[in-house]
Order: sequence, then structure tokens, then C-alpha cells
Amino acid sequence: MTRDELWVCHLGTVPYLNAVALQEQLRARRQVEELPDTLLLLEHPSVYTRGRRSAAGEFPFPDDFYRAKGIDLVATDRGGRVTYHGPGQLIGYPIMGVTDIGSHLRTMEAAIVSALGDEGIDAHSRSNEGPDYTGVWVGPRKIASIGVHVSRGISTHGFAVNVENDLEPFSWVIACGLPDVAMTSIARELAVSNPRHANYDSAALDTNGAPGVACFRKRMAHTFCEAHGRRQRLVSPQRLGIDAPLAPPSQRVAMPA
Amino acid sequence: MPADEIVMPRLSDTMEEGTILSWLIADGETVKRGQELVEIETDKANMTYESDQEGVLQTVAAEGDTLPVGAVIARIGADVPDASGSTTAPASPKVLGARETQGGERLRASPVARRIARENNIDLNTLSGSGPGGRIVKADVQVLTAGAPPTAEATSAIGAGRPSPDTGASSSPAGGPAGVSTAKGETTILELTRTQQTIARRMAEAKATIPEFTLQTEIDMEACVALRSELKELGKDGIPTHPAPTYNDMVVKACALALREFPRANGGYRDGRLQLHSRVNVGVAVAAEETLVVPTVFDADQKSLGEIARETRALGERVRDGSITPPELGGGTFTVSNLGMFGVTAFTAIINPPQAAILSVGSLSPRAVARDGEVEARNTMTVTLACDHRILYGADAATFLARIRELLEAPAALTL
Repeated sequence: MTRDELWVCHLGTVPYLNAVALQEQLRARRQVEELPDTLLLLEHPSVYTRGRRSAAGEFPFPDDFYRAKGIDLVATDRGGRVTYHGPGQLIGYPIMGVTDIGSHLRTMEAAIVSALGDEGIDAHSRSNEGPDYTGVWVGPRKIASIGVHVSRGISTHGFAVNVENDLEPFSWVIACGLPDVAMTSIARELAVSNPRHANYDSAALDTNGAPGVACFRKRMAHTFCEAHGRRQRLVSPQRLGIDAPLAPPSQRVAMPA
Repeated sequence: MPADEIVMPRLSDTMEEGTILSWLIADGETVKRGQELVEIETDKANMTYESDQEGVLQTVAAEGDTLPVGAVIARIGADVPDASGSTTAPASPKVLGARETQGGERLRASPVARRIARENNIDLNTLSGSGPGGRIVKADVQVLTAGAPPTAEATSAIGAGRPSPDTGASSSPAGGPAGVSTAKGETTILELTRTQQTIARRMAEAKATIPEFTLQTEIDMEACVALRSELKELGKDGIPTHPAPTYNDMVVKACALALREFPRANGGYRDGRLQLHSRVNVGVAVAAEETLVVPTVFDADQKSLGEIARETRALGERVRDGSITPPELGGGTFTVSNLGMFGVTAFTAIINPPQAAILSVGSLSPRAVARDGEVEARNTMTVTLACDHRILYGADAATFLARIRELLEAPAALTL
């Protein structure tokens, strides 16, 4: 391993808590320089996660309501407030050395903006508007969320880009502590910019031409490494010492060749 | 030996302040060099911070406190300082107010309260806190600065659409009312609930941004009154018409049918574009305890009057007992607000963005009307349509409103 390399590993679909345990394990190994900086790319089954400063009012409905929708509720140690993760959303967890936390967040935003630009979406950061606006936005709509944790100089948690996921679960909580923030996705933005689809609130979105998660994660890995000025090296989960399957076979997606 | 001060670390070039999330070592315990001491949040990142020295930890900042970079958050000493901490190094001016003690315990005060106290030279020890656990909050300090406008710095801490951890915490039920005595007598300050905050922001946004105009018309409701008593009679004969549709249900149905014919009235204005919706979903404003919610009658144009009556009744009950769910509150394409039951003759409700319009319904009562050259007492009702001129123009809106009136004056179409 060389210093200018950044390892990228595709993990498929991983339940949230399994991913937390994996990150903690990789962080410990990164802290003792057993691993180089590594970006994990994956998806989660439907889950709401609360950050450390989540307030009670962020879940306006009884827990049973969310469980009935098949969505788990999990507490985490990352920064930020409540968010939703689900199939069709690309998750990126950089386990890497961080010296300046602000530049870590801004570089992550720049990489996402750049990857979205490759898809023809004009996205931007709103970091100058305050910490609650960390993330990536398309106009006033939020397309990617960010929340990280740094311990002994090594980061865990990271970003979530809405690619083609169901956006409705965001409307059932006060996402990121911002009431009424409108969420969007790559699929939705591409449908809107297509003049044939003036009515973008309709249930039927034409996702033809929109990339799936498997396609977008390649762009994302590329722009993330580029933003950090590092060379990408794709590694298998086995290379990271991950032997046991992280999810039941039925939930796993194919690994890239 | 004097204790070494631990200050809020600069975790980033751009970092100005940080929030203490949790102390990983308890106050009074011994910390080793390299041990994780405290978890700090800045921006959307939480970071653990290691101690670079060894000794007994004496925390200065409480969990949840937000402090500027460089402010003292703790002291680490070789020996145990006594509880009052009076023998340790003097507090730096930067953190004045953060170190006072009260009854031997560390003083609890919100960052905003500390700031206001500092700027006005108020000794926090002289105050008793009304916040959770006796914490001194902004209102407690403002009593002493009453009449003076809030300082720019104090305002910026809570302004700019950036909820500070303090306002977040006090909006919780634990925040409780704070009593303040002024020239206006006893003033009680209540924090808004999340829903109230949302209503406040959306209504202000609507009034500030929507180029609104209103149209008003008087509707002859004689035919609706006759229809309603006829439907009630049917109920007595065992035909299932319970509950009998209210006049408001008739208004909802009339609006839905008219909306089907006027796509722009059923649309919305958002981000410089017009949205036209395929479904007609009419929101019905319902007052609940200290709040206002608008449950939605989906596809109201497709539903019979009886269905609408049953649905609005069920929705109203669920709003009142708190069992309403988010999908039932969203998705409205138009709103009907009715204050007729309070005897209000006419009013103008605020548009619910991004909807194009809202109909305000006044009371139904007999009024003197000139008809065929004679003055007659007729049951009439005044309705007011507030429109967003960016999507709905005067002539369109007038035709739309006339169509609603027509449907209510000859209500046969409503019963289909």
C-alpha cells in the first residue's frame, strides 16, 4: 500500500448496525496503520438513524407507525440529526485520516457535487449558510446528507446520496432538524429537467435514463478519490479482512468483477 | 499547583464554535495522557478529543454547551481542587460567567444567557434559572435588560434559520413557561412546538412571498339547505345517509368538481415553475388544541358527497385525538377553511404554499336579498378566494369561483 492510494470497497447491501460494527473495526485497524485510507460504498435496508443531538420532536409519530412501514430506528454517534437510509441510496463511509474536520466535510461535498455534475445535475454546497446546511443541494432541495464522526484522527460515517430511493420516508420525520426540507434524488431531478415531465409530484416518475446505484457509485468513487488527489484502488471485502457475509445472500447485490 | 486549562479545540480552520456532546471522563476523575476526554460537535461532525496531559479533570463547560474556539472547557490539575474551585487560576475574561458557582454546584446557564449576561455586566449568580434543572435561560437574563433591544450577537446566535442547541432543547416539553414581570404585568413566554414553528414559518413565507389577490362572492344556499334536509329525511327512513353531509362537505365537493375543470387552481407555484397535478386532493383546515392541521380528502372529485362526509368526520376525529398520520396531512392541492360555525361572515385565509389558492367560507345565515324586484330573506353564505397571481390570474380565478357558486346554487351535480 502506498500513501497516495485510496482503497475503495463495494459492500452491497449491509444492515445499518452491521455497517457500524464494521466501521469501528476498520477504524481501529486504520488507527494503527494496518490499513490505508478506505472508502466503503454500500446500501442500507430501510432505517431511520438519529444523530447525537436528535431532539424528541423529530419523530412526530409513534414508533409503531414507522415499524409498520418496515423502517427500523437506530441511534448513532455521528454528527447531525435524524435521517433516513434505504435501498436505492448510495452510502459512502470514508475510514480515513482527518486533520481538518471542516475540509473533510467540504471535500466530501465537492466530490458529490462533481459526481452529480457528471450526471447532468447542477448541485451545490450550502456550507456558508451554517452547519444545518451541510450536505449537497439542488436548488433548495437536498440530494445528499452528510454526518461524520472522528476518533483519534480517523473518520467513520460519511455521506448518503439519494439515487433512486423512495423519498416519502423523509417526509415522515423532521429530517436533519430542518422542518419541511424538500428531499430530492438523481432520478427525480432527471425527470424534472426533462420537459416531458412537468408534473414532478406525480407518483409515476420516469426513471429512464437515470443511473442506478451500481452505476453512480463508480462515478462517486472516482470523484471522491479525485477530490482528495488520490489514486483509486478497488479492493474486495476479503482484502479488508471481511470474511463473513455482511447480509443474507438474498439481500446482497453482485460484486463488481 | 495551578490547573492547566483545556480550551475548546480548533478542529477545523473554519471552526468558530463547538458543542460539548459528552464528557468521556467524569468530573473529578483522573485522566491519562492520550485518553479520550470529550466528544465535541462542530458542523455535522462529532469528534473525540484526547487529553495531552495527565491529572484530575475538572469540567467547566456542561454537556450541550456551545462555546467559541479557545474558551475554557475544563481544567486538568495535578492535585484535586476543592469543590468551589476558588484556589485555581482566575477565569479568563473570555469565559466570564462560565465558572461561577452557586451553592457549591457549577452554575447552569445557556450560552445565549451567558452572552447576554456578559454584555450587560450581569452576575449570573444573582439569578435563579427557569429552564430545565434550574438552568438560566435567555428569558431570565432578559428580565434585567428589559426594554433594551436584544444585542446583535445574541440575535445572531438564534437567527439566520440556524437553530442553536439551546432553542432546540427549550422547545421540548421540559422547557416549560417562563414567567416575566414587566410593565405589561406578568408575561408568560411559551416556546413553540415543532408544528407551531412550521406553521409560523410557512405562514410568514406565504405572506412575504406570494403576490396574492382575493375575490369574494355571495352564494345563495337555499338549494343546499333543501338538499341537506332531504338527505336527513332519507336517514330517518333507514337509508344509510349518516352522517348527513354538512354544508362544508358540499363546499369541498363543489370545489373538487370545479378544480377538475380549472387545472391551474389545482396547481402550485414552486421554484419558478408551475405544477399541474393529476389528482384533486382537497385539504380541510381543522383547528386542534393550540395548532392547526389540514387533513386531506384525496381524489375528492371522484368521491360521493356521502364518502366525503364520512371521511372528513373521521379525519377531524383523528386530528383531535392525535392519531392522524403524515400521509393524511400531505398531498393537498387546494385548501378549504371554514369559520362559519363561529358566526364569521367573511375572512381571508392565508394560502398554504405551494398551493395556488385557498377558499375561506363564512357563516350561512338568512340575509335580505333583492330578488325579482322584491326583498326576500334567503340563506346565503360569503366565500373568499385568495389566489397566488403567479399561477392563477384574475379572470381564471373569477370563472373558477363562479363555477363553485353555480355548483352550490344548483347542487344536483354534487350528489352524483
